[in-house]
Amino acid sequence: MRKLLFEIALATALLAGVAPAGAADRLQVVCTLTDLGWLAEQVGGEDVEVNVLCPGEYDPHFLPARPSLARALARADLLCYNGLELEVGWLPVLLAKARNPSVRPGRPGHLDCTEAIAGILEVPDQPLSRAQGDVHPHGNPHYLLDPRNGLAVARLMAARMGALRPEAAGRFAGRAEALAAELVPRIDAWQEVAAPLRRQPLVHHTKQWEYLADWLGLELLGAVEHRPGISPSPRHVDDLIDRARRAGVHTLIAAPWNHLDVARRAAERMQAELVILPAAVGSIPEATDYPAMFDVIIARLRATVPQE
Amino acid sequence: MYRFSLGAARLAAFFCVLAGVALPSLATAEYLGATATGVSREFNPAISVNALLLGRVADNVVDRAYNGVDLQEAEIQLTSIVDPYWKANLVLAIHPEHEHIDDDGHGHGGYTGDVEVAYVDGINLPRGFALRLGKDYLPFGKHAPLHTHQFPFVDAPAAVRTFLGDHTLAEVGARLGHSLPMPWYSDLDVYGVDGKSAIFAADSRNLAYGARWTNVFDLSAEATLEIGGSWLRGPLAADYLLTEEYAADALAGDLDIWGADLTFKWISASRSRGPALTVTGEVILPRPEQGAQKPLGWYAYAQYRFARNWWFGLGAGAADRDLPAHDPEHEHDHAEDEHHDHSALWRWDNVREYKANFSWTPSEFSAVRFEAARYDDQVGEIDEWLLSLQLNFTIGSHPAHLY
Repeated sequence: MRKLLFEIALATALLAGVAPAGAADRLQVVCTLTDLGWLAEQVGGEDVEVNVLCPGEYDPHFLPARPSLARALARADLLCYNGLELEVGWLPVLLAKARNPSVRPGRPGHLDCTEAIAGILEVPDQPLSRAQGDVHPHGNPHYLLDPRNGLAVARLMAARMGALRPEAAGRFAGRAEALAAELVPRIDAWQEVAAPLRRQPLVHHTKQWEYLADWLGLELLGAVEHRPGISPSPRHVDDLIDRARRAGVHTLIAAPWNHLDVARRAAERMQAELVILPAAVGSIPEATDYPAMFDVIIARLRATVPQE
Repeated sequence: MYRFSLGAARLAAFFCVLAGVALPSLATAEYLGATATGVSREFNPAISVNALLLGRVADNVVDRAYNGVDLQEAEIQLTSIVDPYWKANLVLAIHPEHEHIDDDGHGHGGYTGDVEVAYVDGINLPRGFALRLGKDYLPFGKHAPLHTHQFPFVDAPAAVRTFLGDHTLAEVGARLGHSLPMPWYSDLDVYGVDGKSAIFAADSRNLAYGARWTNVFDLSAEATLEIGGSWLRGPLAADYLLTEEYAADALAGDLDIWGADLTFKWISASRSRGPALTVTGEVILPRPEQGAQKPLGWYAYAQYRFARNWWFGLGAGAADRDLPAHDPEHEHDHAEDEHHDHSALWRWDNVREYKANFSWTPSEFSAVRFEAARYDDQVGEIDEWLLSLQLNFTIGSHPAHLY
């Protein structure tokens, strides 16, 4: 038995020793979200290899922490994550499994993209409790639904990639500016198309559209699931429907992973249209990349405005 | 086991009161900064508390442990980075003390505490390596490393309780882990501990040691298959498998336990907290140098989330130990034990168990579970129905979603 164990240990050590070191010349970047993955690819170009942990179809609050995801993290030079506790349920588990000191908190390879965000919304100014649901104690984490924040994150990524690969720092910064040059006109165009939506009252299924509303001037009347992670009470839904009818709401927006049966029933009762919006790159087939996601969002919202 | 007595609890309460009086006055000086006051909450550990309240009734066993309402367990967990080299985790558990009957026929119970987990993880090791020093659950199989509030059913499987001990298999020692360079997730843990659990000889100075090999294959983005193997070796307890009651001499030598487990997991990506299925099976094969011949334990269960807040579970298992021929002088009536032994339900020679439960989980922080379990020994001497209603709640920092 002892001999067998010795042989297993020896084989393990040999396998570890001959294991490929990975594509050492390319910066290995792991992003938690598809939006971040797309931004990292634009900034990193051929100097990086990007892996994304949470597929677009998954609600990033509830990604199952499959151990295979830790394998990508184990090889990473840089981890880019959303922060504000969006990934708190699974990223710490994967970080522990990955056993990669390069991407642990406090290291240059550990990038909380919240650092790029100047105006974090809904930062609590009063004591919190779980009676309010599974709230994010440091503010609303869905800032990537404002493309201006996406640009800020891209520049932050460029700076960090440059710090990790100084020889390519110029290329990273150049690509970030090229992305800005491409996105800024599109942002202006989206705003113009969405102008008729200003001050149009909307109901949303789950609280995650605040940054989009802040950017486009939408008026969010209330959420069906007003306490995050908690099924809405019938009384709350009744009250919301009453308010929606009085306010003339004709649109209820939801993410693909929301409980759409609940959203559909609420929309029917408030005589509104249920509009599914992509909440992440890849969350619906049409949202193939970050700009395409906003194309779809703006087009679907614009289609709800009654034609004059 | 590390236990703290009621005296220690009073002492802790005194310090809490003292802290309550002293800290506010220190807090007023907080503007001077932590350097001036020496008090800062910035570096306090993340704290969470989990409690399990359990009501249950059995149809034959009259032991209070299976009839009545009680605090099943409360766990206080503290986690923090120690310094650039270590991350620490401490879990204190409080649970009912085994009730005993005094000469006047009065029952005496109360609560007792254990340091269930106290370890540091190295956070600065080379890629792929992990080092854990301290007290932790041994990584044997799928169920033994679980905390009570993570159990798929109210009680641990009979196979686990019979062959790995009634209480947790938590030991002090060192564990080294390494991710193997395979095309799938493959992880090998080896460990050496000072075995103090009931399955190990109390008077032996020999270490217990073992290994766990975990392999997880992605079948799709939504489904995985995990195949694991475990092995544990240590000095054999004299009463392992109850054989002391039958053997004229106490047992000696080493105890080998082998285990294999298989888990299929599927979690739908279609919506938040949508349909999910877990199917797990584990076989436990103890091989003591002396004592029972060919003992075997197994369990299997399935859990299905059929609605956002609802789970349904089904499980079965068995623990068989073909004991040596009874020594008439040591003949023992297990039925007598049931009035005195907290774990009487798991001290049969051969036991089969069947379980079903419904869980309602209104949030990530609470759950209510109703469970029906049936135990029998297949020869008609013992059959038992056990109904349980359990409330599970967590306060404090956000829990990790274990996979």
